[in-house]
Amino acid sequence: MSAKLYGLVGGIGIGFVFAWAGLSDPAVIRDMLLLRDPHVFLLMGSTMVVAALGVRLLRARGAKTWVSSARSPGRPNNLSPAHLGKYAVRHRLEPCRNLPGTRCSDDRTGTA
Amino acid sequence: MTWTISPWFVAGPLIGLLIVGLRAAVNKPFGALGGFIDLSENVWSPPRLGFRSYLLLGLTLGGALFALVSGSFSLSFVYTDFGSVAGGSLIGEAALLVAAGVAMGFGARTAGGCTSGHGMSGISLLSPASIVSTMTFFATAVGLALLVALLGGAP
Repeated sequence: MSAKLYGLVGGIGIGFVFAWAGLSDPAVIRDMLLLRDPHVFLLMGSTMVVAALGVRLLRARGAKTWVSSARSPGRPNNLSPAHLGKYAVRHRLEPCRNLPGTRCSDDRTGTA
Repeated sequence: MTWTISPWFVAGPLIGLLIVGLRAAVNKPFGALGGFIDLSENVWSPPRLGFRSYLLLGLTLGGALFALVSGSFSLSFVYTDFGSVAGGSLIGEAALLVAAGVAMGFGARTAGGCTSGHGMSGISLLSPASIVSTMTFFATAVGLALLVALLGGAP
Protein backbone atom coordinates (compact mmCIF):
# COMPACT_ATOMS: atom_id res chain seq x y z
CA MET A 1 0.00 0.00 0.00
CA SER A 2 1.39 3.41 -0.92
CA ALA A 3 1.75 6.41 1.38
CA LYS A 4 -1.09 8.13 -0.46
CA LEU A 5 -3.44 5.25 0.18
CA TYR A 6 -2.45 5.14 3.84
CA GLY A 7 -3.19 8.87 3.97
CA LEU A 8 -6.60 8.40 2.40
CA VAL A 9 -7.59 5.48 4.65
CA GLY A 10 -6.18 7.13 7.79
CA GLY A 11 -7.95 10.35 6.90
CA ILE A 12 -11.27 8.58 6.46
CA GLY A 13 -10.85 6.94 9.86
CA ILE A 14 -9.91 10.15 11.64
CA GLY A 15 -12.59 12.17 9.82
CA PHE A 16 -15.22 9.62 10.80
CA VAL A 17 -14.21 9.71 14.48
CA PHE A 18 -13.96 13.52 14.38
CA ALA A 19 -17.55 13.76 13.18
CA TRP A 20 -18.69 11.06 15.63
CA ALA A 21 -17.10 13.05 18.44
CA GLY A 22 -19.03 16.15 17.38
CA LEU A 23 -15.97 18.09 16.19
CA SER A 24 -17.73 18.91 12.92
CA ASP A 25 -20.54 20.57 14.85
CA PRO A 26 -19.89 24.32 15.29
CA ALA A 27 -22.06 24.32 18.41
CA VAL A 28 -19.71 21.85 20.10
CA ILE A 29 -16.71 24.03 19.25
CA ARG A 30 -18.54 27.13 20.49
CA ASP A 31 -19.38 25.48 23.80
CA MET A 32 -15.73 24.50 24.17
CA LEU A 33 -14.51 28.03 23.48
CA LEU A 34 -17.01 29.50 25.91
CA LEU A 35 -15.87 26.98 28.53
CA ARG A 36 -19.37 25.55 28.81
CA ASP A 37 -18.39 21.96 28.05
CA PRO A 38 -14.98 20.29 28.58
CA HIS A 39 -15.71 17.56 26.00
CA VAL A 40 -13.25 18.84 23.36
CA PHE A 41 -10.50 19.59 25.88
CA LEU A 42 -10.78 16.11 27.37
CA LEU A 43 -10.89 14.55 23.91
CA MET A 44 -7.77 16.39 22.77
CA GLY A 45 -6.00 15.61 26.02
CA SER A 46 -6.69 11.89 25.74
CA THR A 47 -5.63 11.96 22.08
CA MET A 48 -2.34 13.61 23.03
CA VAL A 49 -1.64 11.09 25.80
CA VAL A 50 -2.38 8.04 23.67
CA ALA A 51 -0.49 9.41 20.66
CA ALA A 52 2.52 10.41 22.79
CA LEU A 53 2.67 6.96 24.40
CA GLY A 54 2.29 5.25 21.04
CA VAL A 55 5.01 7.32 19.39
CA ARG A 56 7.29 6.71 22.37
CA LEU A 57 6.70 2.99 21.98
CA LEU A 58 7.55 3.17 18.28
CA ARG A 59 10.75 5.02 19.11
CA ALA A 60 11.70 2.57 21.81
CA ARG A 61 11.27 -0.36 19.46
CA GLY A 62 13.23 1.40 16.72
CA ALA A 63 10.36 0.54 14.43
CA LYS A 64 10.59 1.07 10.71
CA THR A 65 7.70 2.35 8.65
CA TRP A 66 5.55 -0.05 6.68
CA VAL A 67 6.14 1.62 3.32
CA SER A 68 9.88 2.22 3.57
CA SER A 69 12.81 1.37 5.76
CA ALA A 70 12.83 4.79 7.42
CA ARG A 71 12.93 4.90 11.19
CA SER A 72 10.00 6.16 13.20
CA PRO A 73 10.20 9.71 14.59
CA GLY A 74 13.23 10.88 16.52
CA ARG A 75 13.30 12.78 19.74
CA PRO A 76 13.21 16.61 19.84
CA ASN A 77 16.15 18.25 21.56
CA ASN A 78 15.75 20.14 24.77
CA LEU A 79 14.57 23.70 24.39
CA SER A 80 15.63 26.58 26.57
CA PRO A 81 13.23 29.47 27.22
CA ALA A 82 15.63 31.81 25.44
CA HIS A 83 14.97 29.98 22.20
CA LEU A 84 11.36 31.03 22.16
CA GLY A 85 11.92 34.76 21.99
CA LYS A 86 15.09 34.57 19.96
CA TYR A 87 13.86 32.34 17.20
CA ALA A 88 10.16 33.07 17.09
CA VAL A 89 10.74 36.81 16.75
CA ARG A 90 13.88 36.88 14.63
CA HIS A 91 12.87 34.14 12.24
CA ARG A 92 9.56 35.43 10.94
CA LEU A 93 7.44 33.84 13.65
CA GLU A 94 7.70 30.38 12.18
CA PRO A 95 8.61 28.38 15.27
CA CYS A 96 7.94 25.02 13.72
CA ARG A 97 10.51 25.65 11.04
CA ASN A 98 13.09 27.50 13.04
CA LEU A 99 13.18 26.35 16.63
CA PRO A 100 15.95 23.85 17.22
CA GLY A 101 14.85 20.36 17.95
CA THR A 102 11.22 20.86 17.07
CA ARG A 103 9.41 18.36 14.96
CA CYS A 104 7.38 19.91 12.22
CA SER A 105 4.51 18.03 10.81
CA ASP A 106 6.25 17.83 7.50
CA ASP A 107 10.01 17.72 7.18
CA ARG A 108 10.05 19.24 3.72
CA THR A 109 7.93 22.30 4.17
CA GLY A 110 7.61 22.60 7.91
CA THR A 111 3.87 22.58 7.84
CA ALA A 112 1.28 20.32 9.34
CA MET B 1 -28.91 2.48 14.77
CA THR B 2 -28.90 5.80 16.55
CA TRP B 3 -25.61 7.66 16.65
CA THR B 4 -25.00 10.00 19.53
CA ILE B 5 -21.85 12.02 20.10
CA SER B 6 -19.05 9.72 21.12
CA PRO B 7 -17.75 10.27 24.66
CA TRP B 8 -14.30 11.80 24.82
CA PHE B 9 -12.76 8.71 26.41
CA VAL B 10 -13.69 6.68 23.33
CA ALA B 11 -13.07 9.16 20.51
CA GLY B 12 -9.89 10.69 21.97
CA PRO B 13 -7.91 7.45 22.32
CA LEU B 14 -9.24 6.25 18.95
CA ILE B 15 -7.88 9.34 17.22
CA GLY B 16 -4.63 8.91 19.13
CA LEU B 17 -4.30 5.34 17.88
CA LEU B 18 -4.98 6.44 14.30
CA ILE B 19 -2.25 9.09 14.61
CA VAL B 20 0.16 6.43 15.88
CA GLY B 21 -0.94 4.22 13.00
CA LEU B 22 0.00 6.92 10.49
CA ARG B 23 3.38 7.24 12.19
CA ALA B 24 3.94 3.51 12.10
CA ALA B 25 2.84 3.18 8.50
CA VAL B 26 4.45 6.14 6.78
CA ASN B 27 6.03 8.24 9.56
CA LYS B 28 3.88 11.16 8.51
CA PRO B 29 1.96 13.49 10.78
CA PHE B 30 -1.72 14.09 10.98
CA GLY B 31 -2.72 17.68 10.13
CA ALA B 32 -5.09 19.57 7.89
CA LEU B 33 -3.05 22.63 6.93
CA GLY B 34 -0.45 20.67 5.00
CA GLY B 35 -3.22 19.18 2.89
CA PHE B 36 -4.50 22.60 1.93
CA ILE B 37 -0.97 23.74 1.05
CA ASP B 38 -0.22 20.63 -0.98
CA LEU B 39 -3.56 20.95 -2.73
CA SER B 40 -3.08 24.61 -3.57
CA GLU B 41 0.42 23.98 -4.92
CA ASN B 42 -0.45 20.97 -7.03
CA VAL B 43 -4.11 21.35 -7.86
CA TRP B 44 -3.34 21.72 -11.58
CA SER B 45 -1.15 18.64 -11.65
CA PRO B 46 -3.05 15.97 -9.70
CA PRO B 47 -0.36 13.27 -10.06
CA ARG B 48 1.89 15.43 -7.90
CA LEU B 49 -0.61 15.51 -5.02
CA GLY B 50 1.03 13.85 -2.06
CA PHE B 51 0.18 12.13 1.19
CA ARG B 52 -1.12 15.32 2.79
CA SER B 53 -3.71 15.98 0.10
CA TYR B 54 -4.98 12.43 0.32
CA LEU B 55 -5.17 12.73 4.09
CA LEU B 56 -7.26 15.88 3.72
CA LEU B 57 -9.49 14.18 1.17
CA GLY B 58 -9.88 11.26 3.56
CA LEU B 59 -10.83 13.58 6.42
CA THR B 60 -13.58 15.09 4.30
CA LEU B 61 -14.81 11.71 3.11
CA GLY B 62 -14.72 10.31 6.66
CA GLY B 63 -16.85 13.15 7.97
CA ALA B 64 -19.29 12.75 5.09
CA LEU B 65 -19.39 9.00 5.66
CA PHE B 66 -20.36 9.51 9.29
CA ALA B 67 -23.07 11.97 8.26
CA LEU B 68 -24.48 9.43 5.80
CA VAL B 69 -24.28 6.51 8.23
CA SER B 70 -25.83 8.46 11.08
CA GLY B 71 -28.53 9.95 8.86
CA SER B 72 -27.49 13.49 9.68
CA PHE B 73 -26.35 14.40 6.16
CA SER B 74 -28.09 17.45 4.75
CA LEU B 75 -27.06 20.31 2.49
CA SER B 76 -27.72 23.66 4.10
CA PHE B 77 -26.56 27.25 4.28
CA VAL B 78 -27.35 27.34 7.99
CA TYR B 79 -24.24 27.48 10.14
CA THR B 80 -25.89 26.80 13.51
CA ASP B 81 -27.11 30.12 14.87
CA PHE B 82 -24.19 32.02 13.42
CA GLY B 83 -26.58 33.88 11.17
CA SER B 84 -27.86 35.94 14.07
CA VAL B 85 -24.34 37.26 14.68
CA ALA B 86 -24.10 38.29 11.04
CA GLY B 87 -27.37 40.15 11.20
CA GLY B 88 -29.36 37.42 9.47
CA SER B 89 -27.80 38.19 6.11
CA LEU B 90 -26.44 35.30 4.07
CA ILE B 91 -23.88 37.57 2.42
CA GLY B 92 -22.82 38.97 5.78
CA GLU B 93 -22.51 35.45 7.16
CA ALA B 94 -20.46 34.34 4.17
CA ALA B 95 -18.19 37.38 4.45
CA LEU B 96 -17.58 36.72 8.14
CA LEU B 97 -16.81 33.07 7.52
CA VAL B 98 -14.41 33.90 4.67
CA ALA B 99 -12.66 36.50 6.85
CA ALA B 100 -12.42 33.99 9.71
CA GLY B 101 -11.04 31.38 7.32
CA VAL B 102 -8.39 33.78 6.02
CA ALA B 103 -7.37 34.65 9.59
CA MET B 104 -7.17 30.98 10.52
CA GLY B 105 -5.18 30.08 7.42
CA PHE B 106 -2.75 32.96 7.88
CA GLY B 107 -2.29 32.18 11.57
CA ALA B 108 -1.80 28.47 11.03
CA ARG B 109 0.68 29.04 8.19
CA THR B 110 2.63 31.47 10.34
CA ALA B 111 2.71 29.00 13.23
CA GLY B 112 3.76 26.18 10.91
CA GLY B 113 0.71 24.08 11.71
CA CYS B 114 -2.92 24.07 12.70
CA THR B 115 -4.71 22.90 15.83
CA SER B 116 -4.75 19.29 14.73
CA GLY B 117 -1.20 19.31 13.37
CA HIS B 118 0.37 20.98 16.37
CA GLY B 119 -2.14 19.96 19.02
CA MET B 120 -2.60 16.31 18.21
CA SER B 121 0.39 15.30 16.13
CA GLY B 122 3.13 17.68 17.25
CA ILE B 123 2.47 17.33 20.96
CA SER B 124 2.63 13.55 20.64
CA LEU B 125 6.27 14.12 19.67
CA LEU B 126 6.64 16.47 22.65
CA SER B 127 7.65 19.22 20.25
CA PRO B 128 8.11 22.46 22.21
CA ALA B 129 6.93 24.53 19.24
CA SER B 130 3.72 22.50 19.08
CA ILE B 131 3.12 22.87 22.81
CA VAL B 132 3.60 26.63 22.64
CA SER B 133 1.51 26.96 19.48
CA THR B 134 -1.35 24.90 20.85
CA MET B 135 -1.43 26.84 24.10
CA THR B 136 -1.47 30.06 22.10
CA PHE B 137 -4.25 28.85 19.80
CA PHE B 138 -6.53 27.88 22.66
CA ALA B 139 -5.77 30.83 24.92
CA THR B 140 -6.45 33.27 22.10
CA ALA B 141 -9.59 31.51 20.87
CA VAL B 142 -11.10 31.08 24.33
CA GLY B 143 -10.23 34.64 25.31
CA LEU B 144 -11.72 36.09 22.13
CA ALA B 145 -14.85 33.93 22.38
CA LEU B 146 -15.41 34.99 25.97
CA LEU B 147 -14.87 38.62 25.02
CA VAL B 148 -17.41 38.40 22.19
CA ALA B 149 -19.86 36.70 24.54
CA LEU B 150 -19.28 39.40 27.11
CA LEU B 151 -20.07 42.04 24.52
CA GLY B 152 -23.28 40.21 23.70
CA GLY B 153 -22.22 38.90 20.31
CA ALA B 154 -22.30 35.17 21.00
CA PRO B 155 -25.52 33.18 21.05
